[in-house]
Amino acid sequence: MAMRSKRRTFHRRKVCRFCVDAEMKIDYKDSKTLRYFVTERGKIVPRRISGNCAKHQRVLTLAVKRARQIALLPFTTVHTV
Amino acid sequence: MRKYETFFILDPDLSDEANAAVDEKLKTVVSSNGGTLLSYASWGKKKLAYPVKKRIRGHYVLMEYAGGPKLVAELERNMRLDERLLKFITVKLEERFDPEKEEARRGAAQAAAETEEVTPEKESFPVVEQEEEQLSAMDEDVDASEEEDES
Repeated sequence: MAMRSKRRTFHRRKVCRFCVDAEMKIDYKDSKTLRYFVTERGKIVPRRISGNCAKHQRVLTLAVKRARQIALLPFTTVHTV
Repeated sequence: MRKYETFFILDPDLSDEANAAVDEKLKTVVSSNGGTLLSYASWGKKKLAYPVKKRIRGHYVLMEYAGGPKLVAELERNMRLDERLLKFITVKLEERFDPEKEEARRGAAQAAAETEEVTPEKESFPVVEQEEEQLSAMDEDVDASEEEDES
């Protein structure tokens, strides 16, 4: 228990960036914004890391997948070099 | 009628005439299948995230139109046959296309653009630079074409 409370002190509350900023739209053509939510390898960053809410994470996932289809985002970086 | 957008990649090495020919062809496909073209905008040449048909760069074009599902099928068939097109994606934007609503939206967008015109360069240029950093080292002529598009 002591361990857990200790760890809890490190918690930083994450908020969904799309909820905070209503101006921020999720669009598959906007690779600049989407890039914040994929790792260097091109994987989608999970909600527990990015702090997105469920609703926006769903929309974002779809947008990233569309962006991959049209070669704005990589599927992976391993084979393309 | 539904509202769709098709985002596609053209061969970057095409001449201006060849580009115009593709534009013309796609526009006629839309109009001859009972569709209305709403916008047709070039996004300039960009580096692709992965090679497509052995090309590492592509010329992105965004086309918005209204029409039925048959139009999309016909358009995509044409795009698949055309070798000048590398890749495309079609997304349905609205289930019911309302011309009046479109007019209103366009008017609002234009008004917004006019008010923003006072400080467009300062805002838009850092954005382009950031993207270049992330896409890692674009060629110089790519920059030039992007700047053209913004002006």
